[in-house]
Amino acid sequence: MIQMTDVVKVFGEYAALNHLECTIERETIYGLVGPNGSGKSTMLRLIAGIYRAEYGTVCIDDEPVFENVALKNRIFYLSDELYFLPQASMNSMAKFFAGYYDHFSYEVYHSLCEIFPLDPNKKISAFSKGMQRQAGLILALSCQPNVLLLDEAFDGLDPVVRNAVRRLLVNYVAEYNATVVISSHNLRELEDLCDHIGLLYKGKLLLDKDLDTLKLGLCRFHCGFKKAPSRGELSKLDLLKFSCSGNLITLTARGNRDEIEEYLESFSPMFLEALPLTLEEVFIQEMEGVGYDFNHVEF
Amino acid sequence: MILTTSNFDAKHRTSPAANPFRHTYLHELSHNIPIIVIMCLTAVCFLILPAVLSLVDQNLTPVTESGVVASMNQTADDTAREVVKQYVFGVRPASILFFPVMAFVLSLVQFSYLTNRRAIDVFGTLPIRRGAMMRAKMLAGVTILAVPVALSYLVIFFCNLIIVGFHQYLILELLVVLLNALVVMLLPYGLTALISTISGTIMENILYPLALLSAPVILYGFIMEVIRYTMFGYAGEAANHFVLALLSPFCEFFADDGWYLVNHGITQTLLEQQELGVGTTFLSLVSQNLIVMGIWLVISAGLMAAAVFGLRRRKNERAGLKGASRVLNHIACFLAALIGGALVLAIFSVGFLGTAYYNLRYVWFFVAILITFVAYQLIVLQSVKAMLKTWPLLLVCVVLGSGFVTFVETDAFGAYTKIPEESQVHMVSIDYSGIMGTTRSTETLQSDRPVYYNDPDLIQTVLEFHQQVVEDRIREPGNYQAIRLEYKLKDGSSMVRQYTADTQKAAEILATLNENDSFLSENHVIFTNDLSGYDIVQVSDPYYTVMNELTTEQIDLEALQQALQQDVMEQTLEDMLDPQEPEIGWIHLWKNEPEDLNEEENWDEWNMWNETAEMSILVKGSYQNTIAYLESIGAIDLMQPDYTAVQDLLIVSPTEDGGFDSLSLYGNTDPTLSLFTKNWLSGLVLPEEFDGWITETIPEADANRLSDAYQDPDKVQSILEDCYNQHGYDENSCVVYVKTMNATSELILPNS
Repeated sequence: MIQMTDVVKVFGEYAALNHLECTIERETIYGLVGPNGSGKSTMLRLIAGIYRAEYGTVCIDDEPVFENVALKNRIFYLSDELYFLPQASMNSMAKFFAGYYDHFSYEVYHSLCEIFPLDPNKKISAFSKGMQRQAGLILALSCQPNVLLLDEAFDGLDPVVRNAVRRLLVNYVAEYNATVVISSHNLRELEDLCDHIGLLYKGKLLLDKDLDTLKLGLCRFHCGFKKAPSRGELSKLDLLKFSCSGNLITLTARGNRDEIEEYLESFSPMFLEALPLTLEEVFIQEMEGVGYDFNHVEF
Repeated sequence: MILTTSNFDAKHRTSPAANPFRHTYLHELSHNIPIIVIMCLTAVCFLILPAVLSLVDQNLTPVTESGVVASMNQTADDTAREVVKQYVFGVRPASILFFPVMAFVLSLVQFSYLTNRRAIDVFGTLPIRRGAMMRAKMLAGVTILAVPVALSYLVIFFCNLIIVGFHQYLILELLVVLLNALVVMLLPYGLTALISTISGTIMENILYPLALLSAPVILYGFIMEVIRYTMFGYAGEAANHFVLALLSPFCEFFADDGWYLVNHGITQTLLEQQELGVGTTFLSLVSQNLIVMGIWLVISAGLMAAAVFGLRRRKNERAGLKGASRVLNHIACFLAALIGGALVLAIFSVGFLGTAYYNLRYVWFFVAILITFVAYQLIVLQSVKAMLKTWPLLLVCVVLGSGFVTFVETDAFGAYTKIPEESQVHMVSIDYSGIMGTTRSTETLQSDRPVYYNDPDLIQTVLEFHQQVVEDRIREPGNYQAIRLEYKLKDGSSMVRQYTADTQKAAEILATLNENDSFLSENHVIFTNDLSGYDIVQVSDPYYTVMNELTTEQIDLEALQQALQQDVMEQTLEDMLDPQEPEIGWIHLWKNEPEDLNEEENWDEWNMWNETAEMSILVKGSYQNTIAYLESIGAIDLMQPDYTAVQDLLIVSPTEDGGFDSLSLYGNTDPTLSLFTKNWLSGLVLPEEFDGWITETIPEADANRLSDAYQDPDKVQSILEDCYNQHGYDENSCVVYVKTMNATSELILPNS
């Protein structure tokens, strides 16, 4: 379990993380989303032990990460901006990591090299951006970490490889009881992969929920009435969004879908239709619900 | 395609358990193979080969055919000298010129990851403690640097053993040389490593070590120049070798007394000195080097330890951040501002820009500090607002600058104006040449071998002079005619001061030394030179109209010297400046060049001979003892002038302002004489190239002041009888140029 307690990380006068509280359970794929500069990469670097928090603690299984060799042996951080040693090939990078990680497996490495169409003897600097990302993932998985931290993991990957990586990560978590934390700007990328989502905004975790709970907890309905009820008449609903155009109403409410539907049926709608909510819409609703202006948040 | 890792497990690990320290060490070695190759090639090409070839060349040349043929034609002495074998060791130039640069580059390469954000993401995640990683990297760095160099010196050591033979000093020299080579590599390596852990960009990693290594030496150099030219009474050198070596170990090699370590090596230098009879021991020769290098070794080790500590404390987010370290920025800005100020102050203090700049030198000093400070901060910070926030640092610079100005202006808080009590003085030395009685100056002798006097009268005179110059307290820029005083005090300490005599009163006090017997016996050439060592003696009249040689049977040079010494002792200052008796003539002495002395082979010995090879003594009218001796051997008759031999005689009157433009510049006499006797003519013979000058240049250029040119013997005689070779000169005096077949000389015609 990753625990971040009251973490403050400051760069000069800018607070990248501002009294952040976060708990990431084991064996989860945790999606970390947020706008640019929200502190996603900083949070991952703190978990990886690259940065030291000015205030607060970053622990894995109740042990602080920073300068903890035993813990770091089971952590791998794959940055959004990849770095490989000058003139290195995948094989030389594998040798490099094998010297540091106790659990580095050449068998995993060779198997992954067969799965991904990469030449392990070729210089990595000659690879394309997507190929370099694949190389990074192969090396990361070969280290067999318990905690895999991926910053913009799918950046530059083509749809086929992206799908393959998704499946690989899901299997990896299942088989190794590992925890994967993935940061991304793109909610759609994480929608099918993560089982937990955290939204970082201005250095604070605005939202930290299980994906199913998140999706099930919100619902949207589109309905038509002979005479549309006013927002006040629907006061029993926990309305997040309400728009009325003549006798047509579109609303988003928090709560059980069946109960809300039953409640709306009591107003004898001419038609009542439940609309699906994307993860992005769920987030927008949640953020607006807690008072954040969506227009100033870019995804 | 199987997209699962279900078959993978940690138990399938094929490599042994990781040892991060060992792995980092080995990785650094393998990663820096190009530098290892360059180090090895350099060690072979610039360290081993030159030394070995020099050994072979110096010690094995005689066995070649040409060498054998040549040796057959040599004398026995020459052959004996040839077979003396020479050791070739020492630090060698490559070690101090190339390897420190390699150490700097290696350190930059090894720790460049600290300035790379992407690299930090990889290295920062690795399961190894930062301190361990730094230690492993530095151990690898030291291995890369030290092993090729150490092996090279071992090769040179064994080559010396094989070619020249064993000597006990060789082993000690090996250790000293290894120490030196290690220090000059470890210092830039450790400093760059430390800077890398503090700074944020590779440019800073390059600039800060270079600045920190060079700035103290540059600043010290400028400060000492300012002190030398500004502080009243300062008598030290512009820069002290030991201090320089403490500021930078590289300075240890570039001074005269440090170059032996690079060039010849310790063993060879010691053997040469012992052959010359200098009682130098191994320890006395290298003691300063050992102290300096020992200190720098500790500093280098401290820097490397600090680098480990620095990395452990480092914030990784500094990577790629410009100006990440305020401390470094402040230190660099501080040094830059002080160097800028000191440079301007040094230039203005020397005085060649003129009095206006000299008088305003302190204003310019602070202006230069301000300009340098602002320029540096604007370049580095690129923000006026940020620059303005650094005003406390500027204040520190100004305060330090003010402290320095106060130090200089108060003559080290009064230390340099302090005059010792007469009762405290045991001995005194004064670097003053005196009013010379011959054409030869003892200036060289004086500066090489200071003479200490314990004569109470002389000590009192020196103290009076010291008191006077301190009261006068005149320090003109660019005045190089300084007089150096050194007191040996009774408590065992010494006090050295240097002043210029710029007032008549001070000059008059100084001139009284010419009447002091102790001073004369140590300085006057008639006491310092042994006349019996001369082979040829000629006498002439005061105007060089006749020259007659005396055989050594005719003249007893020892008796002559005794008579001259007695006359010089009896001579008063008044006699010297304004002689009443006409001059008798000149005694010229020469030494034959020794047969075994060759200018090219034994320059030092030849130069010593040459300095005293020729000498002329003016026999004045007041030299009664000398005149009596010369009369007794019949030499006086040979010194009578033949006025018919004068080819040209020219009288030049003074300039309108009472000045005087002589060619001879009054010789190497007392520079302070002009303060109380107007000028002084010391009886110089003009060089041959001035033969035409007397009849061509002077009449053309100075027709107004030209009295006339004379050839009539009677007229010539009447003029010359009133002339002197050595005499004070005033506004009523004329200069008389006399050309004979023997020489062209310059005389003074007083009160004409």
